Amino acid sequence: MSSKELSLRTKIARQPVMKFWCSLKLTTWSLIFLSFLTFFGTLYQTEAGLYEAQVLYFYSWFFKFRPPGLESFWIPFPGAQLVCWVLTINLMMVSLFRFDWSLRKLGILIMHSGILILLIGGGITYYWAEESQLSLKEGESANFAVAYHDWELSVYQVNEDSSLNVYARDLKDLSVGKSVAWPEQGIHIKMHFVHQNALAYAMQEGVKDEGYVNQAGVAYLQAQEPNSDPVLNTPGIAFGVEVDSKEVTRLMLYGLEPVGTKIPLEQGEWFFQLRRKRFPLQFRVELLDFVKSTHTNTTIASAYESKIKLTQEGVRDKEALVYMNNPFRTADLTFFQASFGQDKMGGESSTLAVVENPGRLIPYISSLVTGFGLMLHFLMTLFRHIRGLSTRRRGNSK
Amino acid sequence: MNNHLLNKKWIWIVLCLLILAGLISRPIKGGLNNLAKLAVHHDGRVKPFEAWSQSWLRQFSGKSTVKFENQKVTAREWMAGVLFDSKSRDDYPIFQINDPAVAVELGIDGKVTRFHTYAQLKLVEFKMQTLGEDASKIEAKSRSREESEFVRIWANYSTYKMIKESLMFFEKDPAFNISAPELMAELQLKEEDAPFSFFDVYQKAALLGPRLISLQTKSDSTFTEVDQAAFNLSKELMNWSNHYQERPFYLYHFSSHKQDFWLSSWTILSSQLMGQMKVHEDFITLKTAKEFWMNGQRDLFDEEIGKFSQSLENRNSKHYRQEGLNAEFNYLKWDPFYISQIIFGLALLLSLISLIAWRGPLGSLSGSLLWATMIFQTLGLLTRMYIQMRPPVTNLYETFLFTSWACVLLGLAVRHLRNIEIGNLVAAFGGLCMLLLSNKYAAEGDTMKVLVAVLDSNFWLSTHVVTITLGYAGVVAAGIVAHLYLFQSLTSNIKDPLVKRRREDSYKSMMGILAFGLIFSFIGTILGGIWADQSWGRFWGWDPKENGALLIVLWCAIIYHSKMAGMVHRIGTAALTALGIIVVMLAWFGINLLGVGLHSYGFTEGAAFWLLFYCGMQTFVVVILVVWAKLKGLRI
Repeated sequence: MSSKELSLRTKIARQPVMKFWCSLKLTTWSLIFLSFLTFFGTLYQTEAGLYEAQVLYFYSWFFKFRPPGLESFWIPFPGAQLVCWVLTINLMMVSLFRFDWSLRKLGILIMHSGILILLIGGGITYYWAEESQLSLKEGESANFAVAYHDWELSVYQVNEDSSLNVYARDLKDLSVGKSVAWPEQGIHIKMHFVHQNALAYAMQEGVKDEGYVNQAGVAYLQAQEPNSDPVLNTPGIAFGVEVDSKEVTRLMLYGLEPVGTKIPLEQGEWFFQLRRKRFPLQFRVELLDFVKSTHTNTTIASAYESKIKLTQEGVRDKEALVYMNNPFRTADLTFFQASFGQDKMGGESSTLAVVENPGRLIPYISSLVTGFGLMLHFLMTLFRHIRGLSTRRRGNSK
Repeated sequence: MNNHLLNKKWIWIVLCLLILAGLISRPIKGGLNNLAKLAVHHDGRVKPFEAWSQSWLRQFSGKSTVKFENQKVTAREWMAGVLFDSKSRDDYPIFQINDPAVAVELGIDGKVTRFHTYAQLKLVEFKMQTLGEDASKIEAKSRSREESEFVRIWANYSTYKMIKESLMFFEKDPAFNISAPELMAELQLKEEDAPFSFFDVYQKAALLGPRLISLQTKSDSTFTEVDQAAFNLSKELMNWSNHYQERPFYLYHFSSHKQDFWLSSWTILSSQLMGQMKVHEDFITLKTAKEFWMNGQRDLFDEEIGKFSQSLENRNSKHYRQEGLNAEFNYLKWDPFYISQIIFGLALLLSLISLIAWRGPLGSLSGSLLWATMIFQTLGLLTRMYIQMRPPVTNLYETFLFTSWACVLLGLAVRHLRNIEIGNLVAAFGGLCMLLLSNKYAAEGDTMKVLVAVLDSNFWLSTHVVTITLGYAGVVAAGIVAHLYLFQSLTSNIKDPLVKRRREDSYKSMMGILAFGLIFSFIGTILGGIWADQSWGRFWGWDPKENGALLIVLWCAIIYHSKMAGMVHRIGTAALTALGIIVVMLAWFGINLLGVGLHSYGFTEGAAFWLLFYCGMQTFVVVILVVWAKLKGLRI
């Protein structure tokens, strides 16, 4: 490296803005903040559950920090997302403009590069990974996975060959008073209300009939406080279907309805259903067998194992075994053994977690890089130390 | 012996190894060798009777021996009594009640003590059952300390009672009195042998059968005296079979519909499998053994048990590893970690004295003791690995054994690379503390439990778990040196060149060990993430255990970066390193106290108070030391 390049790096690093971003104090404070968030975020899980703690402490930019035991008092605090961004930029700047790029510090440089890759990988996973699940009984098959806690309004038509044309909107995109349209299908709706969590009731005395149509007989939806674990929430919505800006019918949908509500419109019969968000798969997955083994004479599970078959038109069928610590990977998806169930008749079902993560390999790469850097630095220091020690001992013996 | 000879390390090491070899080859205490090796199935695995009885005794009393009439009774001997002469153990104080108020609430008579007998608890059985069952309906997390005690005591009492009844079928009981001499003759039983046991009558079931069949065509009013006696006898057989059908003393392997089971004697009797399993001779041998035990003929008893054990081995050995069983027996006989505790204590004492006097010889002796114990501990860990066919760390108890071993290793490394005194102190203190902590977990029962499905991966156990445990050891050992450094800085004349050099040695050792801790914590955390990715489909989920590991890494990173940024100086760095032990303790088992997250297989109860107490004390000590340093004019 030439002295000209070095001076350029030093020059940049001395700029006031860069001074801030290259500061070791910034690193230290970021690490302190992250430790604080990790500690209190973990404690918070005991009262609010993992999901709420993740949203509040780890996925936020800023949040109101309420010290344990002092619920009415709060201070604004940076969330882990902000702290991780600061650390990432800080690390990038320090690597570029502050680090001593000498052989002696090679281990440190490699190690920090690994951490940078890890932070970037974390960002990719956070922003782009999709997690869903696939629950099947033995002998059942499906060509879609469902979300854990995201819901969608599905609008579909049944074709003559029983196939469906489905058009869906995320529940997150629906809010009171909002108009939603499927222009090509000629469908317009206007939201009356959206409850993230609700209880559904059939028509009963004292309840005013507001003329909502529902296939399952739901006449009234009572809003509930959302659960800290969103998997437990069941949403409910109501909307009017409009033609030429005039409401022609009103619908009320509840998340637990097994079938859609049928509405005859000019464009034919349409079904409306509120369901967990679905992720179509390129193939059909069939659960051939599920085995749960226990250690002899105990109820301690020793293994859960799902035998699945993947079928896809034009592709050879594939069978795979999914069990704890042994996921099945295909294309961009990975299937994990997540859970299981047994009905009253003894029929077994298996739940597979389905994950699509474009950043899946990044932690592996970063681990190798960081581990290598750490070991290199540690061993170089140790050898230097041992060499110094033997020199010292030789000197003493003389 | 002159001073020069005393300084020869190899002499000490050979001497220590000879002593340890003597300890290893010593005969088993209390005899009953054959009984100790008997293969028993318990908690999903086959173990020697010695381990089985120790794990029960530990579960009931928290100890592996019991004191009765000023004599120490081994677990094996105690359990032999429970099984073969159950009433003889009714007055042994084995039930630990931690809270005296609970004993009072249960209405237990006698002086206030932590240990109570079966006879004492039997008097309050109904109350104990009511309180225990009511408390068990409350979710474990929401139970008060007293409620948890009620549940624990009732469960222990019920289990003990069931074990006690495991060989009840050999006990002579008035229920099997035969009032009609004719029936006795019919069943080929002798009057002088009366009263009879369940097993005596059970063996005559074939002779009793025809009479019972003839009763089916008779009405009760037409029963003769002999008929009535036969009917009563069959009713008692039925009642006992139903009542005692399952007792937790599993000795016999049985396969049915491609499934494996381990059966107790009672299950064989009540399911009428004796003929099918061809175990009649074994029952007879066991009966003879019981008679010898009752007559106080212990050698003959153990001989019979040897025959019984051999017969079971011929039958069952395909279904477990006999070599593992033998290894476990030897492991229990050697008790390597108990002996290590004693030697670490001695080494610590010698190391402390060596700071004041006889520095050379005592330092050498202490180091040799530590080396020998290190070898002994390694053998202990290897034996555990061989028994379980697993890596060295599979549960919380083993993390302490391994951390102790790693602390000794790090201390010995410092001893040879940097400074003898510091190395000896770290090895002895770290090794001892970790083993003392392990005792709490050993007291919970079996320390080699089978693994839940998610942990059943030798690859990840040997990479992630071992690495993160080495990380714990590194940070803890660095914390110990940090304390030493702080004390050296405050209590000595820091201008003295010798003190200055020692301080320098301490500081450099601390930073080196901390680097070791950081490296292994970091790699361990990352490997944990990769394991989570393989098991649950995500690298990082902010689960409490993951967060705990991250906290250790962050803490170490804070120490290094704050030092480099000039935010702290040497004293500050040492103070932060000393506080690192708190972070490790919180991550290690503090997280388990929260009761949330995916790592639910490691939950611990009842340690919260001591953990918080330790954290408070540790913080207090460090703050005092830092303030003292400030007052002394040292840069923080």
